[in-house]
Amino acid sequence: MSEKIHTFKSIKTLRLQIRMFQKEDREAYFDLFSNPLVMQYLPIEPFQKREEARKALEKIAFEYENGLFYRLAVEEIYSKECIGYIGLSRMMQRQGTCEVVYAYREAFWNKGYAGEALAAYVAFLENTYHTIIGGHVDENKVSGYVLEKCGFVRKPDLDTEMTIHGNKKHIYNYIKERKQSK
Amino acid sequence: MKKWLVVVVLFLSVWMLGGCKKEEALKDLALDEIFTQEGTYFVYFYRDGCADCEQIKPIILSYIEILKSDPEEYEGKSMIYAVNLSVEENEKIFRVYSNSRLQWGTGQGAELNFWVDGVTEADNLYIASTSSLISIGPNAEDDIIAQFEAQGYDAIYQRLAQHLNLPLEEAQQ
Repeated sequence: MSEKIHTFKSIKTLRLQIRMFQKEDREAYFDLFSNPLVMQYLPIEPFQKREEARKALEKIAFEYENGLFYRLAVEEIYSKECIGYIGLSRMMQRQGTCEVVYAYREAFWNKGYAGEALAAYVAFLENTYHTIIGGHVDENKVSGYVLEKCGFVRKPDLDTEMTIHGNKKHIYNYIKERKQSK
Repeated sequence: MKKWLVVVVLFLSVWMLGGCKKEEALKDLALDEIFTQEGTYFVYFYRDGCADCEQIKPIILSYIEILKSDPEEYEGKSMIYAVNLSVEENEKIFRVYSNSRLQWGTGQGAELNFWVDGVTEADNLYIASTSSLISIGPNAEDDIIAQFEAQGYDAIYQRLAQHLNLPLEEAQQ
């Protein structure tokens, strides 16, 4: 009996495609996770070696095999470049609730890509989750604008603290609740 | 020395061909080809050095890539072609329609200075600004006619996304 193959049907916007990561994304993944400017907002240490990107993509591939699509690639359709990732926090998994996470390579900042991908991804998530949480550290205010633009509402009572590179950081949280159909 | 030169020339050729590859996806039409393509399609007008055109170009290329990536899903969706209005032979249609002067009726576009709707020959088009988008296709009587679609980055983005039933969010830069 053959094992079930899990796939994620890509989500498209006019400029972007949210799809499964592939081996070929290794260089882009390394570029993303080795950039100190990107990593200043993420609670993991920057990659030093390409090998780390390879291992991370292997882990993601293993998750895919098990039907877990926590981390997806965001591709610029025109250039076919992987520009970053979007996905779900592995830590926040409650019935009907999820937390979106995303990061983009520095070369693709200020193009409206984060909002474009988030809006499309949230529309997809709303088929499964009634509450979607998003957050950012104080310094990353742009991420707050992106969340608000996509319909997220600031929710201070959900704020948390997280240690990022040895420093305690306040996490500003937002939520988006699915509209009840009439 | 000779070998070294050959390697450099070969490298440059490969690099230049690679660089041109993306551009080939968008076919440039001459004026007399605007009404001669198959089916219903979009025609995108641009000019060299036009900032808005530079901004929208990746969107146009992305649109073509989407059509090519899944021909089944996007079957029947309009192809897009381009016309460069900086080219001397095409310049004559880069002009402003004025109802008060020509009295043909109301023009199209935000300032009503395009003359596109119902036009059947390229020479009769008035394309007032770039970037802009029109469509060409048969009407109920099977005449091939033009129709104004959109002008400027935001409107073209919205129109193309709408045509492919893609999310309309985030047209801004």
